[in-house]
Amino acid sequence: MEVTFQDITLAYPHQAPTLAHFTWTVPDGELTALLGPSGSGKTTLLNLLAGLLTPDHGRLLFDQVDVTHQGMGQRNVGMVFQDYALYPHLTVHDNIAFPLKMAHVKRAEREAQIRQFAALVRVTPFLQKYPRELSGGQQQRVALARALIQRPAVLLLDEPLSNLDAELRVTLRQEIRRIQQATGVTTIFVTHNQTDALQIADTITLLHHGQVQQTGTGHQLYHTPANLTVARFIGSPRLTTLPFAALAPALPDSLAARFASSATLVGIRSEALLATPTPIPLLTTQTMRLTAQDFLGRDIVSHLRWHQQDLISTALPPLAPGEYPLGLAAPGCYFFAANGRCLWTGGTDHAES
Amino acid sequence: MLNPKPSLKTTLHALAYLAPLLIITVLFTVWPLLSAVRLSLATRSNFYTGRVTAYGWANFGALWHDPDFHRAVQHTLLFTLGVVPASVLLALGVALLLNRLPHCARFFQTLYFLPFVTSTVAVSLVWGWLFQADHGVVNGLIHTNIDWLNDPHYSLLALILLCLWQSLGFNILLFLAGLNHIDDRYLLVAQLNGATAWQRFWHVTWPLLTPTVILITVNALITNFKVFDQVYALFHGSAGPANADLTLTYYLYQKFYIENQTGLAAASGLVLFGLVLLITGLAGTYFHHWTRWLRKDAR
Ligand SMILES: Nc1ncnc2c1ncn2[C@@H]1O[C@H](COP(=O)(O)OP(=O)(O)O)[C@@H](O)[C@H]1O
Ligand SMILES: [Mg+2]
Repeated sequence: MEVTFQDITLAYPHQAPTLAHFTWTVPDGELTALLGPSGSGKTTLLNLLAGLLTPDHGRLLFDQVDVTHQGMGQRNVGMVFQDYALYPHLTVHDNIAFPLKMAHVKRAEREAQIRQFAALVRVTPFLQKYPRELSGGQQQRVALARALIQRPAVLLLDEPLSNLDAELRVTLRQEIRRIQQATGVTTIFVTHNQTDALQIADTITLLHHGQVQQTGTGHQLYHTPANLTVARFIGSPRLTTLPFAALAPALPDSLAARFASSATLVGIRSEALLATPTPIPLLTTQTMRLTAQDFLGRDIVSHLRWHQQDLISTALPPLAPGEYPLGLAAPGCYFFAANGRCLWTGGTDHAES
Repeated sequence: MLNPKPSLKTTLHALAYLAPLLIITVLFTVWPLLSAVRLSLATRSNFYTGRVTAYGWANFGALWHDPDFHRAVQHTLLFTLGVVPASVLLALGVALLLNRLPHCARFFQTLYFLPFVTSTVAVSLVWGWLFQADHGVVNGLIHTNIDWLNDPHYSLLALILLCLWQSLGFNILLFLAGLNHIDDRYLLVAQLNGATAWQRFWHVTWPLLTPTVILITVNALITNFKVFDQVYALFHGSAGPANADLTLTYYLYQKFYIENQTGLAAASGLVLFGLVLLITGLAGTYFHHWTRWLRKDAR
């Protein structure tokens, strides 16, 4: 089911609006990641969807049907909370059965469905246990089964992985992906972790200060960011920026002239600074001073100094501190206007990818 | 020195720590209980010297044939099996309502709590005044002309109302604490799961409130087994008109202090003890089954 937020405004009491004229469409049957830093309004959006909050203004559409003023019970939204909120007094079996029981589904039919969904999320061996006897990952699956068994029109997952350790995170990420594809339910996966979003989602929407910054695939968000906020949020280590004026003299004349009046900031990805010579076409080659290197497993983070600017590269081999001629590649180099809009993305077209 | 193996030495060591409490328990609980058993079986004795000259079942036989005793048992059972559930449900109802109006909840809490911190004697005097036949507020409110405290048909009801009202506030307070303890998200999830208001109460709130319900029920059982001072104060040292408000504790008091029938008093005390054991045992078994999910070894 397609979900549309139409010009929605919402303010918590005694606060500036958290969402102002917010418009967003969640495509049907896909897994959409809602990515954004803490406080950007992700939970608020989910609560609006679930009916826990009602917007002050604007409309919420489920497949073109206005549900803005429908109650929680009528919307058929499945939600998995960050800490799962499994009923502690019910066994796994009864937790999963709960929505069916509330709907007075006949016993035989109920049991058949419980078996089916328990198998889907792989908790069949724990059906007779109580939630507190399960690990975090197992509880997570049970919560998923409980949300899915009511055949929700939309499934909402609010930071579902943030209570899990790194290894389990990866496993469950794949599990959620598999289960979503098996059921085809429209899913919104909320996270502040870009790796989760990049790994799991069909499309990612990046939210910041209650505004959609960009919607697209992970590849699009990384390589052709719509603005400085997106470019800074996606990618690790973080994008380094320097004034356009500082780099302009080093750029090819035509490029420098074209953006002289519009661009104010340059963003450089860490993989765009290369050791020379290299077969990759370069915008410029400059002598830079290597001040230090951090060895982070596979990656080497090199700290560079050039014309009073600090730069970072992850594309250099281990080197002794000193002066080196380094190249700046076009992909991974962005120009931004004063309002943050991205003007140029290393020659790659915005439409491409 | 972690986890030393239990030995004679460590056992004695532990016993030394436990000794003060053990001595107190033996002195004030076990010893009187044994004495009561002895007294109840004594058919001829001198209370002041404690010398018993003959033993037998005569005291229990006398209770078996005493209509006053029957009445006392009936009333005590009515209190524990009737008034207890009623007071628990009433408190739960009020607490659920109070829980919905967060603004004046504190005010009502205080209001309901007052009777609990007021002395029973004062409370009973006030209720005695409320229950007056001629100018009593109760009669005025419901437009009747009942002589609550002197009519044997109504005096027990008057006592029950007083006891209900007196314990209500404290129970409401406990229930409010219990309700506060329930995570709102369970109710939210239930709502998303399509549960109606009644289903949310019956399938989520009520089971999660179990520990509170047990606490309140056990406390109410204990209180209602011991109804005495309310009777004493409300009926000015009698058990109501024609003994209509006789409870087991009051019967015991009558036999012991007024009629000096120590054997009968001890025997009735033992019957009361048996009843307490039976009813709390039943309640305990039931609760034990009911709270399986709360325990670590749940299986
Ligand atoms: N219940 C609330 N009352 C008042 N302000 C709130 C409430 N919930 C969230 N906010 C505010 O709304 C903004 C967005 O919060 P939230 O939607 O929880 O963000 P996120 O889930 O992305 O971290 C924050 O600035 C937060 O302070
Ligand atoms: Mg949040």
